[in-house]
Amino acid sequence: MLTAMAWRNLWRHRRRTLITAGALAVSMAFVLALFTYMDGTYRAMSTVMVDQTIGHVQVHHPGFQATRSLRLTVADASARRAALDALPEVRELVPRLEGYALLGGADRTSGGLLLGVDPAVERAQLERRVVKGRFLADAPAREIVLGQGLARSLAVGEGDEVVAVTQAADGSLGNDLYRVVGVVASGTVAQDRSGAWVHLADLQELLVLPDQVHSFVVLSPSLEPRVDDPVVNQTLAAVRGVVGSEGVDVVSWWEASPQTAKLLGISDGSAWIVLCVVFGVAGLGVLNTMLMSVFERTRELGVMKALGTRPAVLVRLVLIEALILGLLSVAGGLALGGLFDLYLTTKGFALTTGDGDRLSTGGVFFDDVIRGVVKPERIVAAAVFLLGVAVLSAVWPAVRAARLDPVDAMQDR
Amino acid sequence: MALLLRLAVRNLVRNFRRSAITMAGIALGLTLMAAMNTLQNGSHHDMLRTAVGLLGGHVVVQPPGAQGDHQGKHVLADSTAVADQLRALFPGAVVTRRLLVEGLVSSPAGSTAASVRGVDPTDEAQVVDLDDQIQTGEWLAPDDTQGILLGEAMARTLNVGVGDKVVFMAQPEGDEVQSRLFRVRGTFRTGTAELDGFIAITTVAGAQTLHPRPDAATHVAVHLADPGETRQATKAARAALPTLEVLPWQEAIPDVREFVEMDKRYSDIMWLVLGAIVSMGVVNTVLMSVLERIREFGIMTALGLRPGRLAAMVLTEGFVLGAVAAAAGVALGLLASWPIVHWGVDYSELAGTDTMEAGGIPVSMKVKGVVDWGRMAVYPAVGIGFAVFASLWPAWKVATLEPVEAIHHR
Amino acid sequence: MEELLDAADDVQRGSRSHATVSMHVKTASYERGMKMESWAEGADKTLIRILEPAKDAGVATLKVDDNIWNYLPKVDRTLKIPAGMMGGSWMGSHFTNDDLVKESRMAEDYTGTITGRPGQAGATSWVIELVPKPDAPVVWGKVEIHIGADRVPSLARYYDEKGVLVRTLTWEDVRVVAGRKVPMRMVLTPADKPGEYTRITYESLDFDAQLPEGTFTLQALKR
Repeated sequence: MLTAMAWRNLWRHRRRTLITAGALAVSMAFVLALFTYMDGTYRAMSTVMVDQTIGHVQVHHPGFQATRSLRLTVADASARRAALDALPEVRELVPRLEGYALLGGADRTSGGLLLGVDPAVERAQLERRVVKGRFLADAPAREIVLGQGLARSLAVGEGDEVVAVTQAADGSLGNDLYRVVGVVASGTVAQDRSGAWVHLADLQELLVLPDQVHSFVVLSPSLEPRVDDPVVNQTLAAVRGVVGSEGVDVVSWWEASPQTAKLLGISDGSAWIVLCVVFGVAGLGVLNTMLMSVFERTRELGVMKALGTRPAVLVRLVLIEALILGLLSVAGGLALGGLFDLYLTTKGFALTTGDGDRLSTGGVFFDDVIRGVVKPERIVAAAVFLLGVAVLSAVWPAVRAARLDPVDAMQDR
Repeated sequence: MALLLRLAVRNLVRNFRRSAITMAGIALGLTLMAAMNTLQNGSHHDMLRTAVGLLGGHVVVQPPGAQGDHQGKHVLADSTAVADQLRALFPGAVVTRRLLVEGLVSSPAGSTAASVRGVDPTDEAQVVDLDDQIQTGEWLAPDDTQGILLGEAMARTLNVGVGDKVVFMAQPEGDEVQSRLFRVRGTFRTGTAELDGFIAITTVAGAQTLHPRPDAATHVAVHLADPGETRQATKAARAALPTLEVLPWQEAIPDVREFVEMDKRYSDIMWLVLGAIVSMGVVNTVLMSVLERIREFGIMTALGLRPGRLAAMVLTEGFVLGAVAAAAGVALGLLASWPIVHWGVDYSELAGTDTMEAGGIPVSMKVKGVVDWGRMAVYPAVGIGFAVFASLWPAWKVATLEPVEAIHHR
Repeated sequence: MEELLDAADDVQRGSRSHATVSMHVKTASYERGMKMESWAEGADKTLIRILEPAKDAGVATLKVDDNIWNYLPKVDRTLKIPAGMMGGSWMGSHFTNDDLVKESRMAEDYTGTITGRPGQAGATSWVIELVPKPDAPVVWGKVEIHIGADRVPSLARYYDEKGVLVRTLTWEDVRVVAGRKVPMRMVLTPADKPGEYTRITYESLDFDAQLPEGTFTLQALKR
């Protein structure tokens, strides 16, 4: 009964209702858009810093992480790989081998880190970053792809030959000639300056490490692996089950690289601060609007009281109106916010400097275009918050009006 | 005009509670913006200062073609003469020389690739914080040609400490390999892995012993007392040294400045959005206040008052609303900024590290705020603008009143 | 004393020499043997070509003064070793590229004191303690060298500045070649890695060899 009355009341003052609801709805839409933007930025950072570099779970020799020593490898690579690939908890399995080498172009030499990869697996990530030529072919063919900075240091380009010389695992001098098939604008500053990708089989041959890898990098089904993510922990357990613990360490990404976890934590932390500020300001706006809305009606409420409505009922009425108003606003906010979000998630937004050079932070380059990410929890949080503030801010004026002497209330100005 | 203002103020005071609440909203929003901006600005200031310090100064003099050469192959000769010339030209500034040499540092325990930075210790200490980041031993003395400072990580790899000797080997011009003995005078820690594991510091004279060219330097930098003079200083230096390349720091290290610009841009956008949110409240207020006076307005119009004047009054109300709130907001914002400027904010606990890398240089996690007076003036102006903008529609409604309808309005 | 040191330095050198050498390296991770041919002129010019094993056959190292080049037949390229890689081991042994370059004359870079003579306390060798000159670009704190009465070195100990032994070099198997006494074997043992060593054995050694013109050139590397 009260609800029906509340509803009627609202529509009696159609203009005021619509204006108030409109203001609230727009506020909510902006908040949603901001969420989408920030979540998108975080996902971009996390993807590059975690997914594409250290993965979610790593399998490597126990001493390898600390020393990155050439000979600390995981043996029986092909057999283990097949077993791990079969696991449902493993979204992607990336074998990796690395070795520091002296690289030589026609007249310049430079030290570089050779990364032996399986092109079929890494292609998805790296192909987008190719700025010249292409990525490696699926079959080993002595091809090499250089990081932008390295290609510049060596003064080589597509089609040129690069010699790599290194100390092989058996003590001999590993050396071979590779053909540059592409140049990559890599994801990390370090890789850009000294990274070179070759086929895993080619590197195994150069380093005399047959059927060995330095690490298996595993991606779990989780899209955004936070520290202690349960999905990642599941994958961790599954991998351990297959690989055992002899001669290998199986670790989660946050154990493998606490610095990355910290870095992402800071990014997340500062995002939270911004969020609080945004919520604070938006909340103030809503509070403001609702306060005034109800204060305006003191007179009217006074009349009702004079007509015999009990104070408690009055307050309830006002609160129900506030609730309905809030719900209307949320609906409007979702609609408008939905439009903003659509734009952000499809067209995305750019993060480059004036002349198109990429920016870096924490050693990681940002992608050219970042797409927004919409998370249901955010929408729910924003809606609940809005509703909460709307209703709560109606309390004070309602109570005040209910307590006033009807005559005073009617004269309220 | 004065009448309009008086009327506007009186109208606002008539419903004091409503005006107060609206203004409070705007003011608080501004306060938050101001405080956060001060913090962020402080961080940017620190970044730029560090970057300019790492570079050496606001105006950089280097041999032609050196820009983009990371291997240090371009070197200018007779650097002392160049430095003296610049000192004469800029009496209040600090002129520093740098000679960068890449090579290998060896100890009995092993060797590691390193980049040696030859500096003028006294000048350098005025420009860079490094002398405060010495962990063991001490900063270099000006005439110490054999002293070397190692990054902490490098010292550990080589297993050397203060007083130990290391041999530095380099091929500065690509041909002859030169080796020289150096003694460790101290170790430093900047917090960035790259600097601490890869950089070593000697005096210019010390680094010059490895270089065939007379009195070589990679660049000479002028650190001005007033960074605002960079443009003029660059011009003056260019005129005095026509054979060399002279760059202002914005061109010498574009990455950092662009990172800061981008950061600021995104903040501004965010605040704009928040401002829009707040102004929604203003629209509400003004509209309400207009609506409830519509009968009044109707009567006044019927009595001959031109609607235009009424509209002007509504706008003025919006303006006053915004102005008072903005003033309060900025005042509170400055107040809130004071502790941020004075004591700063320490993120290092949260971050777990003292510095983080952004835009290629180390950023300190202990931030001291710096007030951005420019934005302190612009934000409230924009706030007032929003308030006036929010009053436009209500003002227009008033201007287009039909007196009879208005009087009968309920 | 200078005489002694110079003699020690020159013990395996002639004004022009030609030798075949085998090198055996044992480390914690691998053990390999190599055979190589070397030519030298004084202390400044050396050319070494690997003969065995097949994987490394044809690889050649040329040292002229302080520079080193490697020729790699497999890729047909000559690479100059940059300063940054001088710390790296030569062909997987315990000798570094730098060691090859710095066959420095002990007398030049060090000041020596004789701390033991043959006949003293039953010793058969001179014991000389070498301390690097103040500006000498050598990493060692002290080198202790034992030279026999016959002017043939037998032992050298390398210490860092804190007095910790870092590596030991021994000369063994002294034979007479062309009228001179020459140790045909050298063993380098790192102090911190027990069980590891690099052993160099001279299979044949010819002083005053006939070296054709242009032996120590980059072109010669390739042949």
